[in-house]
Amino acid sequence: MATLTLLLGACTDKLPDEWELTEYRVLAVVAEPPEIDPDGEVELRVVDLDPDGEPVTYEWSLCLFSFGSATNFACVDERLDGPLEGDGPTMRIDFGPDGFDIRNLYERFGPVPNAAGVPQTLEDGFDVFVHIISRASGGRVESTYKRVRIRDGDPLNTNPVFHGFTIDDEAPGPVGADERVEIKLVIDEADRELDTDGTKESYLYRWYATAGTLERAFGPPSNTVDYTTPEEPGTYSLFVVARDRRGGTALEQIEITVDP
Amino acid sequence: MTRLFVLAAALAAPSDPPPDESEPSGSDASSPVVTKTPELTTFVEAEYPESARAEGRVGTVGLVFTIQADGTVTDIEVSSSAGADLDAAAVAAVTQFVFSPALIDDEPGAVRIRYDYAFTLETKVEEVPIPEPEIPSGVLRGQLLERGTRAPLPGMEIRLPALGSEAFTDAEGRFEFEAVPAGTVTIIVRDPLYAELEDEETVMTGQATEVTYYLERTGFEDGITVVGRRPKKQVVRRTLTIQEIRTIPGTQGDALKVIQNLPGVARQVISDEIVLRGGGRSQAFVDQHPIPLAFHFGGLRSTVSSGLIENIDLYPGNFGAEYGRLNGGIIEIGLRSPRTDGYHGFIEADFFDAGFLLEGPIDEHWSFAVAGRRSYIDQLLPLVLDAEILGNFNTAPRYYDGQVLVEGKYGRHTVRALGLFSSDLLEILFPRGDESDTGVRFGQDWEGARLEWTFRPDERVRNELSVSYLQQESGFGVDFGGGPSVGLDVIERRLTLRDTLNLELADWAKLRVGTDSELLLANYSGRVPAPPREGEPSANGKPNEDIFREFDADLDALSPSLWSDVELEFGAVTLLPGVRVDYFGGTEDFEAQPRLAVRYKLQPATTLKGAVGLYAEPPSPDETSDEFGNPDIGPERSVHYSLGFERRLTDALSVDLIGFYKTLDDLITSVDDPSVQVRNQGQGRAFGLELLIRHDLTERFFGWIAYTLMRSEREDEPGADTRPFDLDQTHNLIVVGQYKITPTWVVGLRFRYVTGNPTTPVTSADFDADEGTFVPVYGAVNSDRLPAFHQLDLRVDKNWVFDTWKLTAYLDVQNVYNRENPEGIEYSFDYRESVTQAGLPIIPSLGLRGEF
Repeated sequence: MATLTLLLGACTDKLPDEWELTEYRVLAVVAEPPEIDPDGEVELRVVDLDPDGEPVTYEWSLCLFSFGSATNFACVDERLDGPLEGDGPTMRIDFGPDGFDIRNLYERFGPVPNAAGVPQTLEDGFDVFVHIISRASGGRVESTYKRVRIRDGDPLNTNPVFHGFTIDDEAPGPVGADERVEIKLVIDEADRELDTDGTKESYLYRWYATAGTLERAFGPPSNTVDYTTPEEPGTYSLFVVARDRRGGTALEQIEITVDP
Repeated sequence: MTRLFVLAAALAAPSDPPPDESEPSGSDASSPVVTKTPELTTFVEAEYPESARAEGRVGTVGLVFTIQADGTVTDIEVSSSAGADLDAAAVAAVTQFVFSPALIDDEPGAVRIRYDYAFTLETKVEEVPIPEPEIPSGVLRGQLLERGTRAPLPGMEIRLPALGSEAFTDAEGRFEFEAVPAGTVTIIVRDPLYAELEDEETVMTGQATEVTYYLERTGFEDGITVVGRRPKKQVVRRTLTIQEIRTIPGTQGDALKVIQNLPGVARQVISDEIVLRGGGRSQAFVDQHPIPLAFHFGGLRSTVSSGLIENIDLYPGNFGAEYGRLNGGIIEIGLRSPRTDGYHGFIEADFFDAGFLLEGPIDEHWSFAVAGRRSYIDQLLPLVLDAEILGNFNTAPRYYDGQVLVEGKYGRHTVRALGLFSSDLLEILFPRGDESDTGVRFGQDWEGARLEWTFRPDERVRNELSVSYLQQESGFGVDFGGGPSVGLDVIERRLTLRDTLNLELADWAKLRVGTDSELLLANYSGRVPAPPREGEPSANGKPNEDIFREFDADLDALSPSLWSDVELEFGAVTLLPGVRVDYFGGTEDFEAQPRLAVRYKLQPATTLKGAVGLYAEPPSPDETSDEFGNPDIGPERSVHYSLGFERRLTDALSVDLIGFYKTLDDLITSVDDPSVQVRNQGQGRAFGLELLIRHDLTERFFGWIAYTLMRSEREDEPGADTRPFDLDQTHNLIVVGQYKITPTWVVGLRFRYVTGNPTTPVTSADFDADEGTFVPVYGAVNSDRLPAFHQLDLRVDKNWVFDTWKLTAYLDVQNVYNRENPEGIEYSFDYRESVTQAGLPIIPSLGLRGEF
């Protein structure tokens, strides 16, 4: 019974729901491409939302070798940790000979152990950690980490692709107030890439809304979500972030018009 | 001439060694228990005095004497004379009797018994015709049984006041009066533990009148007084009797849960582990062999039926050389012998589960007991949860266990076979209607068997050999949907062998030599993050992908050990030096661990005691694995010190105060190096006081006050800050009391006050953009603390006693004043907000128990 109480008690209503966007939030950092060649470049874009629409400033830094969350994202060597120039929501990083020259660095430092302590070759690929501190004018500060996977081989991963939404299996259209509908993110199976194990990659979804109520937005993640519209008519935004667990990220947004 | 009977009931009277009336009834303030009554092995017929024979005089000599631990008879007193010549002849004969000694707490001990020696003249019908009785008479015979349990009542006095006759029941509770004048006769039985019996029976001329009386017990006491009992050897042993086990409020009559009310035991929220004196692994043993899990579902119910348990000994530290591989303490669960006086059993049920026990004789040598329990939480959930939530349970929480015990006794040999199993399962699914269903699965099963053979070639030698095989399969799985699941599957097969040779070298020297060896064959597979080690926080939220490890590993380890100790008595001083040598097959380490316990009887009612010993604990399998640990690490080591005294304040009241200090070295702690992960680099200590003021079971009341003042702290690496252990509980106060208002109504209470557990605060969090979750950043380990815990539990028992069975109903109310005890901290998704998690609310539980 104690275990049962623990399990049921985990669903508390005293804490804010993760899906509810009421304050400034970083929803994702999209890397294009999500996996890059050692001589390539990457563009990172912070996808965030401030309901108040106030300006946000960004502070970027990069660590070439870290064990990630296992060591709280600490950089293995401070010489490999450094700021990046720019304070906007996007950042372009050049790992080629004209930039960080990652191939040369790798040859100097040798294989990089991953979080499990296993040395990773360039062919295995390894992660470079980018740290972003974003400050909303309202005072809220977010600390965000993003891995950029560098790998010497083909094919390199790409970001997921989706094809809009349906509402109750119909094309999106106006819905009534305080009405429960199923929102579905449309996937074309042909767009799914092969994962490292040779199977079609799967996605981890996280849904967000500025108003209304989302059910099962996170547990479990799915490309469908139950949405109860607000009682007040208007246009409301829903967001879904899909991740392929290999660095690939896509954010889709749907505007839902609520009629009286 | 005939021997009448042996009375197994002992009387409170002096013995050799002389009794100490002020001696505590258990130096740990517990009452010793007669686990085997003495049996007459050598009977010597008395010489019929010529004078009496010539006069045709017959009679019964009532004797009271002591049977010493070696089975010899001393201190013979004539309690009922049949004439000087017959008395002398009876005493001369009984002096030569030899008994198998009584076992007190499974050790030979002295008891005092009553014995009637009857002198009758054999008559030859053809030579001496039996004269017709001048007064018409008959025979009155019968049996005294305890009402409700049908247990025979030996040693009870039955009086026929009108005739001035008296008799005593034998071991089976039987009695007989010959030549009772025909007509109505009044029978009286008086005993302080039972309701008085006064009844009338009609005796017919030349006939035997058979009667059976059921006497109703009115008090708590067992009714057995032990004299000359063995002194307690260990310094910090604390014993619970079955009566205490059954009726403590807040425990639903569960034996193992009761130990949480003793000093030195940390209060746990939801855990099947037992933490004693702050740190180090502790272990529960059933008849000296370890069991994988003592509790179902995080402490809800013990996995061994309380009905089979005779006693529980708790050693929070400084345990003897017979146990090892642990730095914490031990819980020793002793199973009793099945009853041989007919078939008995019980059926019980409460809010959580139902259980049963059936026991009885198979033949004159063998007896059996079968017990089982199954929860029905899964059946009750539909009544309290709505269908939508309930639909998520693939298997609602359920547990069951069972035990089969068979025991045989052949002279000096006792053989025991025990089979036992336990199972827990919980599965929750969150269906999504596509392939990404998510769910949680948790299961643990274990089963096994053991054989025990005890051989006592003579009164000074006893050998106990036992072998146990247990197989445990446990695991959990969490499927988040749309990706690789997380889970762990463990299969452990454990073969343990114990042999203990007990030699009484002299009256003052008892030697024990033994082996305690273990063979572990295990397989571990799954995909999980590294298990958190002591002090490592586990805040809510999904762990990040890069800390998961996939593994499939075998572990085979043979860990033999040899141990020995010798109990030396020098007047008021008892020394117990011992040594244990372990070989840990998992790490290939030898560990020699000398231990010493000393007791000094300062005054008849006061004993000083102290102990010191070395202990070692091998790493757990994950700590030596490549995936999560370091194959090169070694055992953790500790030194236990205890010093204190115990004093009997009154016949029922005693106090036991122990100061303890425990050092912990070579603690295995995490390092910021993925290639090594852990090292033996920590050290720690636990110190404090344990106080137990105890009122023994008396006719109407028992209870105790247990208080532990403790500090347990550690450094995780050289030079690191000192921090508390996870269960560092500065104050732990428990008050337990139970009062028998009437013979059928009993009320009890338990109050607990415990300092809140240390916690590690979350100072901030980083958003992991690849997982979409926040990763907490922690402050100093265990630098914060939850508010204190306090709770009152009440229990009321009502008994209905019938002649051949007994029904008990109880209401057990936990958390009477519905205190919202903080048991943990729950954080919001981004760790910016938090709320305290409250423990269980008020829970009334109604239970029924029928026994026969």
